[in-house]
Amino acid sequence: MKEKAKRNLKKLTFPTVTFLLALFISGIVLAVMGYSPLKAYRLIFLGTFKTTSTMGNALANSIPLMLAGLAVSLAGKAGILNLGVEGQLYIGGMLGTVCALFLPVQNRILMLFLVLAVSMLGGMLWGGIVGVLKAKFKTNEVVVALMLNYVAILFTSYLAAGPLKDPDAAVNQTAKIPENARFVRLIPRTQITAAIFIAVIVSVLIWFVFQYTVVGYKLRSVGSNAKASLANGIQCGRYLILSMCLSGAVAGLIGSTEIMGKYYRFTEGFSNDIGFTGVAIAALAGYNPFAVVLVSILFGILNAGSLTLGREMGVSSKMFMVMQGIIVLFVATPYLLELFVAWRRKKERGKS
Amino acid sequence: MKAALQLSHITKRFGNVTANDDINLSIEKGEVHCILGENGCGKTTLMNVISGLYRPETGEVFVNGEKAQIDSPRDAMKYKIGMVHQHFMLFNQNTVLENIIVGEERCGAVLKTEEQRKELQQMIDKYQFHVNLDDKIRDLSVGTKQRVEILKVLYRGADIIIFDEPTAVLTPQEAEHLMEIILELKESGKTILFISHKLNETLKIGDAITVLRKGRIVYESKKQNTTAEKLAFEMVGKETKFGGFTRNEYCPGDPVLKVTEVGLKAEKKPVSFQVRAGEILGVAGVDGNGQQELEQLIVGILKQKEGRIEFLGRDISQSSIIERKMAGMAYIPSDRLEYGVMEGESLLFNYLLGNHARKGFNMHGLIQHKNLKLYAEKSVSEYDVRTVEIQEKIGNLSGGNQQKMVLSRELSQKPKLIIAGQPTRGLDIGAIEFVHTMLLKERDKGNAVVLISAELNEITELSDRILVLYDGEIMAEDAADTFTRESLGLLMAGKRKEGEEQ
Repeated sequence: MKEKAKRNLKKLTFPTVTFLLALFISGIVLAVMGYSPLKAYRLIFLGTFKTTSTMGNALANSIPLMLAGLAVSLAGKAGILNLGVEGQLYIGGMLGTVCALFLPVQNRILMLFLVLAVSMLGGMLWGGIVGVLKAKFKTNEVVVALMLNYVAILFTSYLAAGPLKDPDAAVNQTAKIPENARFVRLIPRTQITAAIFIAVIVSVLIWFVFQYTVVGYKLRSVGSNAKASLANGIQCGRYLILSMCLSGAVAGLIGSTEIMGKYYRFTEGFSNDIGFTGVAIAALAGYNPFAVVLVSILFGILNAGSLTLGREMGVSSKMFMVMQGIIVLFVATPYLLELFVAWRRKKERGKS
Repeated sequence: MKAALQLSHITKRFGNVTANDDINLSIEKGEVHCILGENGCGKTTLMNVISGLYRPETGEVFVNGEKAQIDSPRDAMKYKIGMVHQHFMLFNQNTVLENIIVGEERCGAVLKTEEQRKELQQMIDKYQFHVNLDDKIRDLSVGTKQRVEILKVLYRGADIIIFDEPTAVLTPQEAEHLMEIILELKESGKTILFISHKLNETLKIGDAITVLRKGRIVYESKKQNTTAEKLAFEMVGKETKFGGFTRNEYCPGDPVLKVTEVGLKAEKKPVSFQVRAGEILGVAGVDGNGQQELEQLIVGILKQKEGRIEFLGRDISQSSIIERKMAGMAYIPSDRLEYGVMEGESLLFNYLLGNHARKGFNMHGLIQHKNLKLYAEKSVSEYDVRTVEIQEKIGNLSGGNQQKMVLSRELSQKPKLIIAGQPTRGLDIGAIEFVHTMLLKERDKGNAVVLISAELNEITELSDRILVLYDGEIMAEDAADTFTRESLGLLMAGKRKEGEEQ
């Protein structure tokens, strides 16, 4: 057991160091821009815990991030980088909205269930395209997914600007979805809804699938070594497609839960790169579904905090993007950290 | 005279494996110095130390008598040491000229290559390289690509040139040409380090020969003071005279595997043979003569286009890999790291691979962790896999322990047929003996074994019958004792006995 504790501690070191380094460097950026980094960080972290409503909004911010991180992690475990979460969530969101707007269903439970299911199906199809193309024609999943993002974003924008546009609105958006397709707010004056349970359930499900089921085992095997999987009777192509479908389904959920819980309608460009933040989260969490939940909350705090920063200190809310970018940079290039460690060693050696 | 290159007490470890153990070596200026040794003896590691790719734990390198600090290939170049790698490092889309001058361009605002082209052309003529500077790399033969690599090293002013198994990828004619080039280089005063596991070529061009075994220098000699027998003996060591194995009398049972008219290579004669219960069929042959195709066809990784494969009396030509496994086929892949294990995963995870469909481990799609752990731990200790715990990453184990792990996974499920591809490649003596003992044990239990190996010793020691593959076809098949080492060697080289019809 002691060994296990040691291993877990080791696993924690990398993300923690990465995160602190990112804070440190963002601090330098803040200082260069003439703001006090200490004051800024105090504002972000303390500001979040001031009232229920600030805490609630930070948490509400983190719900779509959780789902995005989970979607990326799911595919990542099977060895695929799903950069198409963004597109998948737009498709899912649009299909969910259409379903809510036009299905004459009175029953609330049935309605909620239908909207969620249809959005999952949409994301699944959109992600599945990437998987099928990769499995059958060995196309590069990153390129295909990124291109499909454009198709999805622009096509849904067209729908929101044309056939489905709310004639009374100035921006491109659909009409509001009916009352019975909306999530109830769990805490008044916050945007926390049942979506948070969905995110947690998805994370537990993913953990369970990869820990206890043979399907999960096969998915991970394919990601770990496709050739060895093949030699041992695992049909790689099939599991590759499955992983993209599942990942896409989770991504589709982002679209519908955001609309059902926050906006009540499909608005052009509502996601604001949630899908890509998901990549940073998944990477920092090392594809561990529980770590994704924690990291997402952290990101939610930063995100909400950066808005506070804008209000109180006049710092651009893009500061959040800067931090996120730095984190991605470090996670994507562990080599940078290695280089740093090697440099330290050399320096020490030089001294002795 | 000072040595061109001197190594003193070089030790390099990877985890708990010592790849180079206290190496002391002195290479005279202007000689061709051969480093001879079997696969996995530490030759390439040593060369990577010299060329700056690896940093040794202890030891020093001296170039022309001066201590050299080589931390990268760039540093090595500063000391005029260049390496011709086994795997080429060339840009396929570019021309020979562009590949050679990359990083060394002389230019102002525009690239001026005329001067460099002239210098290179002189070099090509001098050493008779037969290379056209304007050819694209992708259009060249393997031999020509290698000459481009040599040119690259020469052009950067190398005085000491390291060749890492240069003939491994060449045809006999290309190898011949390479030998001439190397002698030419020596004539012009270059110092050559030539790494190989082939006796004949080292005896042909080497001035001095050093034999490495298990990371240590075991023998050093000038060419004129040694013989092929002596070198062979030192290279494999007396321990590899296997044998001393006890085995049951040979009394084969029913056919277990029957291969009928299955083609290994395009436009070659298809092969037919069978393996019976209680026998080891040795498949001898030099690498790349259809062995990999054979093992992958039997196991089902490659889809069979023609012929018929029967396993325990049932046609399995169309069966999936997992069906074959479940029917009792065990597979020890020749490429362990690619097809055998998942380096980044734990022993436990690896143990489940291929066993994931078995009842004891898979109930209604759920992994039976308790059962799995119990079995995995039992067979890991039964097969003597040295590991701290079952959750250890398999990539942290030595090759021998990884292979034992593969054996434990494959053999603990009571197979009827074992396909063993190069099962001892890269292993140390202890592990080799263990693998051999286990294979014999399976045979004595009445199971069928197909042993595919390029090691003659292994084939002759273990097999009941031997089949020789050459260029995708069967050269000969007979009882093991009808072959001699010499006759096998000739057959593996594609030569039939005289008087025999083709």
